[in-house]
Amino acid sequence: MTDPTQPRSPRHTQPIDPQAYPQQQPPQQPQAPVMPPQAPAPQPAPQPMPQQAPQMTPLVPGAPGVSVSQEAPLFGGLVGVDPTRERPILSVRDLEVFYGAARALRGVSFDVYQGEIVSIIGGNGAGKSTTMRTISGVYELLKSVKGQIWFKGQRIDQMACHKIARLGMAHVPEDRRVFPQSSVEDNLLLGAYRRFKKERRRIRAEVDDVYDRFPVLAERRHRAAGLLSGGEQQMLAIARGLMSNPDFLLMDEPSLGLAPILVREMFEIVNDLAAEGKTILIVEQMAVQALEIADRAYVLESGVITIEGTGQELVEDPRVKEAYLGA
Amino acid sequence: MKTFLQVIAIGLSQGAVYALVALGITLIFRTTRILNFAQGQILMVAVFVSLTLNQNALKSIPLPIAWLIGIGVAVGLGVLIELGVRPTLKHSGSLGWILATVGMATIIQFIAPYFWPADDRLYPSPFPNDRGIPGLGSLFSQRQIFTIVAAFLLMLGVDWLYNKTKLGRAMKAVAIDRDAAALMGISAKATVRWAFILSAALTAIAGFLVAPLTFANIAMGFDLGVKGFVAAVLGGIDSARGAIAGGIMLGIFEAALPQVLDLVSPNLAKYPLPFVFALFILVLVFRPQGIFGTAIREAR
Ligand SMILES: Nc1ncnc2c1ncn2[C@@H]1O[C@H](COP(=O)(O)OP(=O)(O)O)[C@@H](O)[C@H]1O
Ligand SMILES: [Mg+2]
Repeated sequence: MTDPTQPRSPRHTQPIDPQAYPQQQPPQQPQAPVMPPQAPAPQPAPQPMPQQAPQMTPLVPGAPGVSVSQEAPLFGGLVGVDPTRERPILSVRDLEVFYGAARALRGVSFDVYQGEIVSIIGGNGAGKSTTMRTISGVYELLKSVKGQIWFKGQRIDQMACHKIARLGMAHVPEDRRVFPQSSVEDNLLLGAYRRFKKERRRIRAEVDDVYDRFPVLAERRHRAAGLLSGGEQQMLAIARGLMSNPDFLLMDEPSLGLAPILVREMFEIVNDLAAEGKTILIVEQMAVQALEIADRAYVLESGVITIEGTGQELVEDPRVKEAYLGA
Repeated sequence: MKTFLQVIAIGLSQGAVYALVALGITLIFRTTRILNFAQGQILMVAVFVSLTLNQNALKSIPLPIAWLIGIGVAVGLGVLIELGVRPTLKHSGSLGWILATVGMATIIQFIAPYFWPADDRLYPSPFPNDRGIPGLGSLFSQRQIFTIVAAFLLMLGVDWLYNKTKLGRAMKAVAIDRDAAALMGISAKATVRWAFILSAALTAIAGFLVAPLTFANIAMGFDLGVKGFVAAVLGGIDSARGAIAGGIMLGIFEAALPQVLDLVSPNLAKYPLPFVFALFILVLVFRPQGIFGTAIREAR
């Protein structure tokens, strides 16, 4: 779709096919119970261009019109795009997550638009993985959840994990979770589970595509996944996530355990995927590449989003530099 | 020679039934890592429900329909057990399922005498006037052949289910990692439910196939349950082909045993069960993964 040689940033302004969201209304228009005041969805049209040049904005709880919506109005104003088509594919609103009595997330809100790469960076224990797990609904027993999550126009915060997956969301979890006793190939086929009946032949072809993309996996295709090295398992987990042909990919520290060459390769793959129109939410602890490829990024600290902006803005932000870029 | 062939005939037909019961056990185990100790009781109930419907003073229901209703009752019991173990499935390491399945077995065994007398009953066969297979003399009876063929077809079906179907893949994935399976879009709940349903149906059919060869007795569930379990473990409890091989081996072993023991002492031949268990324990000691456990898994 997108020419990969072009700059990527305006990708998310591509009009979204309204047919893609046949369901009820997501939190686009602020209906009081749905949309809390401090984090309105893109509400572009009437506002004048934002006064400040695009820059990262600290998220002050309760501050109106915080930058979640900044970019969208900007482009909306410029191009005159119908604002209703600028609906985010994923909206997280006031998310609070508890492990027992411990509160891991304390009111996290953000949006991800179609075709974007969004990165969340933050230190160990900040709540990044908790955010990812709550979105995909996995490990539901461990936690209790308050707030709302909307995906493709449906509320998914109380939905079962397998149903969310069937909506076209793939989560590559932090701990990889390959099926250790199954072969590499069976793992890939399980990734395509939701399409198993309809698209048998295409799945076969896609397994071969995956082998082209990850030659290591081709060599090991009949080996039990549990016998692969950590890096290979990470590759497999990513590849398996892609096999479902998701529209939306959650990647939790995908570079973890990969050799530096593979890290670069992996980020290139992420870039390609976004160019193909997939939406990607990526979580990283060490953040340089994650910010470089990101259209927009958030910093998560102790369960709260503290900084947000474009990837470029965050790379240049002194606080980010000091805390996460080792500068 | 004649005795040898008879041993094979009896061994194959009994063994095919053990294999079916074993398959029912592995279906559930493969998906949940649970051993359903009530498997034999489900079989017994299916046999007696169909028997009562088919043979009673009020109104005889044709055998095929009686079978279907028997399968239905068995599936109902299977789902009940599934509901009983469901809470314990979510916490890996929980042993609550033992209570649920053993409890169900005990309850069924306790209630059964109120419905059915404890004596041996003849069970109707689709071949009421069984005169053997022409040309083979009295070697194989028609019902033996029927049992072997039907069981074999069902085994092929289960093997196909495991290796070729979406549900088969889901079962394996759910057994290995429920959470990861959910991330793939697999509903663990639905998959487990299907495992219990198919297992109960298979076990009911095993009952319909074995009862005409022996007798129907409300104690039959215990005997067949244990032997199905032995067959499953012998073959390697995680694989369909292993369970089949284990069942047939056990059947032939059991049929041959009296002949062999008879040479030693006629009294010994009356008590074959300890020898079955001796075989079982020997296999567990030397091949804890089952005789075909790993070999078959690698071949896949
Ligand atoms: N399963 C769990 N049970 C209890 N506390 C947890 C669990 N998982 C995470 N936590 C706690 O929640 C907080 C956020 O963890 P996590 O989301 O894994 O952070 P990150 O991925 O950013 O390193 C941490 O304080 C962590 O100790
Ligand atoms: Mg983490």
